[in-house]
Amino acid sequence: MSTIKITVTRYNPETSSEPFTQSYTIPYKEDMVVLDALNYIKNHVDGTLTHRWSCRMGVCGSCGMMVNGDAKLTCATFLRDYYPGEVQVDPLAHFPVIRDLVIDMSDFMDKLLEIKPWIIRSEEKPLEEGEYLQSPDELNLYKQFSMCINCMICYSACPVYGHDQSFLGPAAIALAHRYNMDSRDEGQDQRAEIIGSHEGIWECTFVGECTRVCPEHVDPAAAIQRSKVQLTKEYFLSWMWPWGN
Amino acid sequence: MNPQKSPPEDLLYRPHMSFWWWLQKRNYFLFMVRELSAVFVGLFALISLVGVYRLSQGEDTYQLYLNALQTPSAQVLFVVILLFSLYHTLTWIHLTPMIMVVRIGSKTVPPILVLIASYLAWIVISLILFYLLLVN
Amino acid sequence: MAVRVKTTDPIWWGLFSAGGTLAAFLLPVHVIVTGVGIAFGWVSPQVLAYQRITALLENPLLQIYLFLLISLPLFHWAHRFRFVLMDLGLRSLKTPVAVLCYGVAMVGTLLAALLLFF
Ligand code: FES
Repeated sequence: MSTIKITVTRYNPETSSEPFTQSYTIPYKEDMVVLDALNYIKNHVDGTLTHRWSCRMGVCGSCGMMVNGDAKLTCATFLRDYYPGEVQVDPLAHFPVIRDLVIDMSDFMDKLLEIKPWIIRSEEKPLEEGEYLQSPDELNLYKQFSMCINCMICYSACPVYGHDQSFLGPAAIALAHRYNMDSRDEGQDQRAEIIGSHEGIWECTFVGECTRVCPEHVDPAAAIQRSKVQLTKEYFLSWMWPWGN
Repeated sequence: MNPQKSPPEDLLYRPHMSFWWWLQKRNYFLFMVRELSAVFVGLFALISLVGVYRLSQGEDTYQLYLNALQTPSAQVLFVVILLFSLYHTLTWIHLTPMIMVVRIGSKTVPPILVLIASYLAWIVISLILFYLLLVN
Repeated sequence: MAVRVKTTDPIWWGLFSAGGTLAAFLLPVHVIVTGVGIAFGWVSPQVLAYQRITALLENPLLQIYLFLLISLPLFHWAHRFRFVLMDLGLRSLKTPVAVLCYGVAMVGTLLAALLLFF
């Protein structure tokens, strides 16, 4: 039977303040993903291993970890891409670690709420007037940015966030852009205060790695740069025509 | 809004970024090269500024500047500046379609066309500039 | 139009991208002709001769062109270099780095303006 060596970063604040690594050699099958390996370890080798997962099909976004240094959804990353080499699994980079492979996502959750990710109307129209209609072209303007599954893989690929957790970051800005580009939404003013602030889009240096690692092809880097262009234009226009609009 | 609850700070492990993070991935390294291309772009502007300054001091001083532009060290410097300047141009043009969404009516122009148009613009502008600098 | 952005960031970012675009489209030719070309003798130094340049700079349009060719790339440098330092972890020096970088670009711009226009 073929086997594969999995090295996992462990962390348990009750026994040590520093993380350490532990290796497991487990049976290998061609159709196994990294998450299967972690679950095998937890079920058959070492029940103390702690990691997050839920859907096992790339939808819920809870199984993001570093696999051999790259941020991946572990349920969508096959061991065969590394076999017969070893696989090293670390918690998502740049986030505080709670235990083993589980990171603290509260900062991200706060940021998601901050950008008001819902349709804002200055005035809701009464129910009997029917729904807000939207054409396919209008839908296409934001559809890509609505595919985010909140896996935070983009944050772990972002050196700007790695240096400074006050940065709003890729997924939150992409989601803000998704609502800003929605023809039914009227909340751009409210969101501009957040994304246009110093900790918003301006800290981004366009490394572009968020876009490359995104498992759902959301393209946060584009969302951020387009927001910069839009708000910069607006900024200079408001100087030139302070009375306008 | 209720802020999310984190575990107590002393139970968390906060990782630190290495100074060398940009050497850990090819993409990060290329990013660093792209950003540092600005140093050489700026350097060329600075050299031009020195030229304008020398110009204001009269013909003799300006001649010293012109002589300096033809030394072996100037050769090395300008080759390096040219390489970084071209890298800047290529990266800048390739990022353009990502940033600029061109719409005709309600339709979005495919990014590849924006890319091709940017390249064409660069080539045309360069040819005109060559003509103006050399022939005129 | 209500001002929705309350920081000065759009100014710096705007100058950065203006300089980046200008440098991307114009700089390679300038470097080839007046840089590499003259240094290696492929281009006659006559192109930059004192009489020729002073005559050309009588034209206000060319004054403005040269001014932008100097000033905007300096701001482009300032912005990128500032953030390179941030990305290398110098976050604790945020303000001094910004002041220094944009300060250099501003001094360069001022000098260029004084020399070219006055
Ligand atoms: S377990 Fe749901 S995305 Fe991987």
